[in-house]
Amino acid sequence: MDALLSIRDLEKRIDEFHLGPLDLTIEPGTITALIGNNGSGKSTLLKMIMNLVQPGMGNIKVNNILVHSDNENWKPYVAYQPQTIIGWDPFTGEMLKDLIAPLYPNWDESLFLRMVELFEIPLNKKFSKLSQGVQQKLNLTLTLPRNAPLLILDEPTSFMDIPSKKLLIDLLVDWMEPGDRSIIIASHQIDDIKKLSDYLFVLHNGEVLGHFEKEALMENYARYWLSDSVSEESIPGVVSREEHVLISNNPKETESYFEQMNTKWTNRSSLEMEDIITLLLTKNKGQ
Amino acid sequence: MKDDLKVTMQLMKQELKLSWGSFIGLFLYYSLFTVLFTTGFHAQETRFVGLDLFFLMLFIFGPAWFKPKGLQLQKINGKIFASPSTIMGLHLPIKKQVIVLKSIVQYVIHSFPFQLYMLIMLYLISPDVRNTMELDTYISFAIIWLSFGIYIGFSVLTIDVGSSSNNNNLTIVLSSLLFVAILLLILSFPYFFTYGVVEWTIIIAKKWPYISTLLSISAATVGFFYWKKKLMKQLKQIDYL
Repeated sequence: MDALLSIRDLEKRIDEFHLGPLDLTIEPGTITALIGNNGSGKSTLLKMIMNLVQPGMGNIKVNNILVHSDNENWKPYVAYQPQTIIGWDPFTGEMLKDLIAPLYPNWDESLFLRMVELFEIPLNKKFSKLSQGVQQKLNLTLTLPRNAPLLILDEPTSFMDIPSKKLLIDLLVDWMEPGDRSIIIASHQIDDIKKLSDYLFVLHNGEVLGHFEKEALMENYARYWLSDSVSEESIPGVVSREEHVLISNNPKETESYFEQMNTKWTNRSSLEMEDIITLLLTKNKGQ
Repeated sequence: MKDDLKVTMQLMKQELKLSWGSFIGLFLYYSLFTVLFTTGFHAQETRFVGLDLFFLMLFIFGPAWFKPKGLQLQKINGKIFASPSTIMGLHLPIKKQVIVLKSIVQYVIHSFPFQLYMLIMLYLISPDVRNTMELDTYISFAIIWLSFGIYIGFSVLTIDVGSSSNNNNLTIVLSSLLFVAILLLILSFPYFFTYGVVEWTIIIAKKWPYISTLLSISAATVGFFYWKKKLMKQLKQIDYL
């Protein structure tokens, strides 16, 4: 199957900030979490995919159509939920639905009604009068039923309550069932990343740290408790060490080194996703 | 084009539901100025230059004054000002051509009927205006100003689509100086050119009714396509960060 999204050699400079160079391919049937510190360029990248920001270099294709060209036929293939919603304030949920639904040929009215009921959204209230959490729920309720093959969510759950977050994760999993859809989700919520993502695309201050398969990334990290302290010399794979505790991002090489040096460890455990992301982002802090 | 117009109308339906208050506001506003201008035309002979200023403003900024809250221009980020409905359109599968068309149609709906109403009422209720111009001259005069509302008035739409506000001190000082210079030019117009801007258009409409009508309509047509192209270009170039 062709890639839904393909990004090549993308770069953008905004004042002192430089994003890229960046390559990314999104295949159908996958969920990619876009991760990075604040100001790492996640939202800018999503806005470039939506042709809201012009790239300095490189190109973006959605369903094989160049986004930054005069051909705008790629637009119905993408449903985008921005972090900050602009222009919805004076409208009620009902009015917004009447405005948005006809623009998407695959609009799923039953999913819309189900989400309205699940999230208990008052459709007759003006958007500006809703709390931030309810605004976010309404936004999702008006985004998911568009049934566009590529769903882009920028911080979709930052104001939502815990039960609603759980509901949303279930809805997104159901939504992915047909297998020909993809989601890109920029999020700081570890639960979203853990439960939803297949891939992690990690940015740090505009630079790509990697595009990882989640399970492989989890397997690549291990924590060792050593019986004796080790010398100060560098150990293959070790990315963090605190007295007798080491963290490696290449357990195979680390263990082979231990074997060579006859170093014993008393315990080995895998790392939590949160720890891995923290390591990835803090390791590059000084760069 | 037909399809684009259909989508434009479909998108505008919801915005128009919010605009009734604006239409009433615009009606009252233009009515107020109609009354003021009935005496203003008279005052023009004694160099009441406020007439020129207000006339120009009504044909340029008129529609911008009564936009419903929530559809008024707002700061998108530190540098960009734009209409929220433009940003909303950019987030949806709407062609840029349609976004531009919608801005233009909204401007026209909020300006043309009220400007026309003001010009008709001015002729009907002001004996001064009727004494100054015959009906055919007045029609030329009206066309000159309605066309002006297009080839100059549409310039306001560049802010609607998004404009970058450079906040450095030099830009602020230069913009303020330019604004003051334009204001002074309008106010001092009669002293340098014997008559004010409005009076000059009356003279032109009287002397060359057909040529001025034809030129105004041509300028409005060229202006329409120029601004449409300019807005499209702007929409493609701006970074809506």
